[in-house]
Amino acid sequence: MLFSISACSTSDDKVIYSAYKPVLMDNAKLTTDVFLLPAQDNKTITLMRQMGNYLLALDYGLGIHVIDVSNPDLPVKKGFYQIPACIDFEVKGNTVYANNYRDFITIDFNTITSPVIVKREANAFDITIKTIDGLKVHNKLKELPPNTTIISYEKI
Amino acid sequence: MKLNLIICLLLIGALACGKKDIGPQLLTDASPTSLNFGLIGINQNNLFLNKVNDVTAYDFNGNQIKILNTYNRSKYNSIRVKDSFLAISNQDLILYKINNNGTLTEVTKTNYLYSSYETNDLLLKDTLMILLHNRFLPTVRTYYNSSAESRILSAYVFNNEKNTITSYTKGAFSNLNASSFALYQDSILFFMNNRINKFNINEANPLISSFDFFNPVNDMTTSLCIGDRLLISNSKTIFGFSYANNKLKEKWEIK
Repeated sequence: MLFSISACSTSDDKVIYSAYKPVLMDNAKLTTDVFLLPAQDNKTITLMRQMGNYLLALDYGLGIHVIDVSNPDLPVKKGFYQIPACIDFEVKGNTVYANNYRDFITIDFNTITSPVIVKREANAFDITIKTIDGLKVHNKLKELPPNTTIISYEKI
Repeated sequence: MKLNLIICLLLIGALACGKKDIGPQLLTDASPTSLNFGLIGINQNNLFLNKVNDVTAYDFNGNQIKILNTYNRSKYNSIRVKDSFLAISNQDLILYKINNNGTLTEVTKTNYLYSSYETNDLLLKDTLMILLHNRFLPTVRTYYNSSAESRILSAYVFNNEKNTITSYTKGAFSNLNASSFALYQDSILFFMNNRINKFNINEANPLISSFDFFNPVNDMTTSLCIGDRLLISNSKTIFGFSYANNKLKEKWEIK
């Protein structure tokens, strides 16, 4: 019995890994590929804010869904504003303030179909994109191709 | 009799060891934790950025105004601002009052025992109410105990007149196991996967009402109230409800 108990006590080094794998982007595109795309399916919504008649919903690390809620019974997705590695944003009037990876960007949303970045401060933030369940990435998934950065995570 | 007991114990021990010896695992049923890191806070007057080594005030044109405080960014990964209060948190929560001249005065500091606690979200009301929704990252042991989702909810009420802060960790807000919460008019709605609890902290009995969802909303990640609409997201779907007279109606969902 003592033997079996002591044998059990050696198994505490087992690790539970995340059920998510990294979503990668070329470093060269991190701050250039910020633009409005057609409406996309939700992946991982982590934050919602109201901007007038629109609901803005952050898809973790990917960008912001723009949803027209002027008819509260019939919301319509109008597009997806891609912002690589975006994990937080705020709204004031028709202006959106967000992180684009480590940069702080100010986006003019006065024309909802063509938002414009009016200001960018490079390297304002020091962020690391965490897994969605808060657990460690499996060692096999840690090796990233050269010149790429993790911008989000998706279910394995 | 004793021999039987010993044999049983040996068998149990062997079975327990066999169960554990399954090597590194991919956790396939993990729920999303909150990913509300809080890089940007906002109030009526300014933006407040949780930058590399400091908290800096910005105007709404995106221009830097003033560095308010310096600290080690690696320790504080969340910032929230409401009216004249600013809170940064991670393992610690530090609550500041934003003075008229733009400086910060520390109101309170709360230390948590575990470095793996993460701030999920916090809300502040007129009387300053902060709600921290922490998630203790599961270890192998607790996971096997089926308690991977160990959520702790703490609430604090700041009294402006007495300049004191009260913990509600053992009061009405403990053991709620809420996944998300949002302000609704003068009340706070705590969202659980199958129920909403409505609280008003100014009432003697804060729990005003409790009502059920038609269908459970699992893996809830965030919520927002707009007018009489309650919006709740469980990662891939945003659910919209209308709420009036303590009645909830499911209106739509967006995928």
